[in-house]
Amino acid sequence: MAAVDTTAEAGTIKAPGRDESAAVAGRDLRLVMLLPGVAAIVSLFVYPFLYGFLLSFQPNVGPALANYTRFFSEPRLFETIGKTLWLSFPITVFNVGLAVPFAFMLRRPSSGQRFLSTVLVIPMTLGTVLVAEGMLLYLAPNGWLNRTLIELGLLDQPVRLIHNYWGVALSQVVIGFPFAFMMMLSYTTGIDPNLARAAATLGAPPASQFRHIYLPLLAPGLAITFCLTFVQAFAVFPSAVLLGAPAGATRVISLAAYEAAFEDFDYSMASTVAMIMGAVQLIIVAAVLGLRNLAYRGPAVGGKG
Amino acid sequence: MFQTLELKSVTRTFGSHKALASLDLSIKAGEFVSLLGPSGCGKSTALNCLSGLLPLSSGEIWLDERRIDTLPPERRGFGMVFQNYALFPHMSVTKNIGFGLTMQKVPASEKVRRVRDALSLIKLQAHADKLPGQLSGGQQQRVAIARAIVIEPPLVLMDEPLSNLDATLRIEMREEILRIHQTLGLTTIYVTHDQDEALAMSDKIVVMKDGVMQQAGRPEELYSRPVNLDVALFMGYRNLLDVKPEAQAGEGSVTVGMGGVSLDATAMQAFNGEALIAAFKPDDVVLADTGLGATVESVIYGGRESIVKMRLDAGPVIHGRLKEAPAPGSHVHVRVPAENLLVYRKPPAAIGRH
Repeated sequence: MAAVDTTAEAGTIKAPGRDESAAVAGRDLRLVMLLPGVAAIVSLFVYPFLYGFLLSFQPNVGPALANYTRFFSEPRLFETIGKTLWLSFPITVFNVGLAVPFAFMLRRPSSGQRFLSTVLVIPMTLGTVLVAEGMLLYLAPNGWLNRTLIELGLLDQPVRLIHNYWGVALSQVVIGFPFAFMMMLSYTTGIDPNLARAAATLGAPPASQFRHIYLPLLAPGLAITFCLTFVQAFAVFPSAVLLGAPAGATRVISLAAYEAAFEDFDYSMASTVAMIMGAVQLIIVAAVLGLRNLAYRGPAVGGKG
Repeated sequence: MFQTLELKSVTRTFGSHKALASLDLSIKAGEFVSLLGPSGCGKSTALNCLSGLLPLSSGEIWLDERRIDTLPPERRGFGMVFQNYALFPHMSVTKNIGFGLTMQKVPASEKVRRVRDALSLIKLQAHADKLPGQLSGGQQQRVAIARAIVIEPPLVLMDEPLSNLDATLRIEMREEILRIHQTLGLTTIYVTHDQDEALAMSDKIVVMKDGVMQQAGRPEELYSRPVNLDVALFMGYRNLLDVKPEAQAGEGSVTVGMGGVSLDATAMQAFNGEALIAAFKPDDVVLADTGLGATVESVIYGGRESIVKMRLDAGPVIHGRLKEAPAPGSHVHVRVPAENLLVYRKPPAAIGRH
C-alpha cells in the first residue's frame, strides 16, 4: 500500500495537472500489468470451472439436482469415489512415506544423490502413457518379469500384475514416487544440517535426530507433498485404462466422467462427476493442510547463517 | 568429572589434503583453551574431531583412562556451541535448553529445575517461551550456550561463537562466557581467529597454521615469545627488519647487523644461514643516543602515546609507540631491548601479514 501511495504522490509533484486523476483514484497504473495474467486465469480456469459448475445443474432431464441424485443412487457411479480413493490414498501414503527416509538418507550432496535423482526423473519426463506401455510389456504374463521368475523356478505360473488393481498401483508408484522424492529432497536439504549435529552433541542418536529435528521441520513440506501427490494420483486416467481393469476394480472417477462425456454425450452429467471429483479432492487437501497448521512453520535454520 | 583430556597425534585428512596434522595436546580440567589461527588452519577441524562430528583419520583422544575418539558424538556428551547457534527453530527457548536433558532421560522435576537455573544464568527468564526466531543474535547465542552447558558436560566446545555479533556485543559476550566458565568451573575449548579474543579469555592458547600446531602456551608467553615468525605475525603487529648475523654469544643470545649498526637480540630459532628477520613490537621501540638512525616521517597522536612512523637510515620504515613523540622531520636514534628484539630465520617466500 505504501508503495502505491508514494508513486501516486511522486506523480502529483512532477506533473500535478496531468496525473491528478490517478492520484485522486489512489490507484497505481502498474496494476494494469496484471491484466494479461488475470485474463489467462479467468479464461482458462475460472470460466471453464464456472461453466462446468453451472452445466452440472442443467441435466438433460429432470430437476436441477437430477445429475447429483443420479450419481449418488447408481452404484456404477458413486462406487467410483471409493475405488479412486482406494487406489490413490494408500499409494500416496506409500509414495510419500518412502520418499521421506530416502530424502533423509540422501540429504547430503553425493554421487549417490545425483545418480538416484537422475534415475528417478526419467519416468517423470516420459509421461504416464509411455510408462504404462512399458509396464504392459514388462509385467505381462509372458513378459520379462514373469518369464525370468518362472525360469529361475521362483514361480510355477505367471503372477497377474496387469489389468487389475496392482498394475495401476505399480504405475502410480513409478510416476508418483519420483515426484514425492524430489519434493521431499528439496525440503530436507533446506534444513540446516547443523541442527542435527547440535542434537547429536546433546545426546540424540540418529533416530532421535530424525524424530525431534527433521520430522517436525519437514511437516509443512510433507503436507504439501502429500496434497500434490494425492491430487495427481486421484486424477489417474491413462494407467487405469491401460494397466487396470476399467470395468472393475480400477473404474476410477475420471473414467466415469470420460464415459459420460464421450460415450453418452451427456456433458451435464460429465460436469457433475467432475464437480464431485473436485469436491472429494478439496476435502482431503483441506484436511491435510488443516493438520499442517498444527505444525511449526518458519525458517528451518538455527540462527544467523 | 575428569582430570586431563589428551589428544595423541590426532590427524584428519580430506582426500590428499591434511586438514589437521598430528595434533598433540593436553588439557587440564577447568582450563579455558583457545585454538587460534587464520581460516583453513585446522582449528575447526580439531574441534569437530573432539566433538565426534568428524571421525579421525588417525590418532587417539583420551579422557583420563577412557578412550573417546571411537564414540559417536551423542555418547561423548560434550556441549557444543555452533557459529550459527544451530538453535532448534521449532522449539521454545525452554525446550531448546531442555533438549539435552530430555535425551538423557532426566526426571521431569529435575529437568525443570536445571532449565530454570540455566535460564537465570543467562538472564533470559523473561524469554523462556519464545521461539529462537523472536530473539536477537546475542540472546540466541546465550540460549545456545545455556543449551550446551545445562547437560553439565565435561567439556564445552565453542566454534567461533561471537563472530556473528557486532563489536560491542562481542566484548559483552566475552565477559559473559568467561563468567559462565568460571561460575560453573567448566573446561572450555574455544575456536577463534581473533587474537584479541584469545588473549583476553584464555588460560592457554594454541596457535595453528596449515593444520599444524605452531605453539601452545599462556597468552603472555605467546604474545612476548612467539616461537616462529608465523606466530609472531599472528599475535599483533610487529615491525620486521632484514638483518645479518654477526656473532652468537650463547644460547639464544645473538648479535645481528643492519646497515652497519650492531644490535643485541634474542634468537628464537636455530639458524645457519645468512638471511634473518628481526621482529619487534612498536611498544618496544625506545629513543636513545645511539642505535639505529631514523628520520621521523609522521606522528599520529593517540592520547597517552603516539604512533611514530620513522624511515631508518638504511631504508625500511618502522612504527614506534612512544610517550614523547619527536617532531616530524627530526633525526633520532632508536633502540629495541635485546630481549624484545626477536630473530627468526627468513622464510623463502614473501611474508604475508595476517
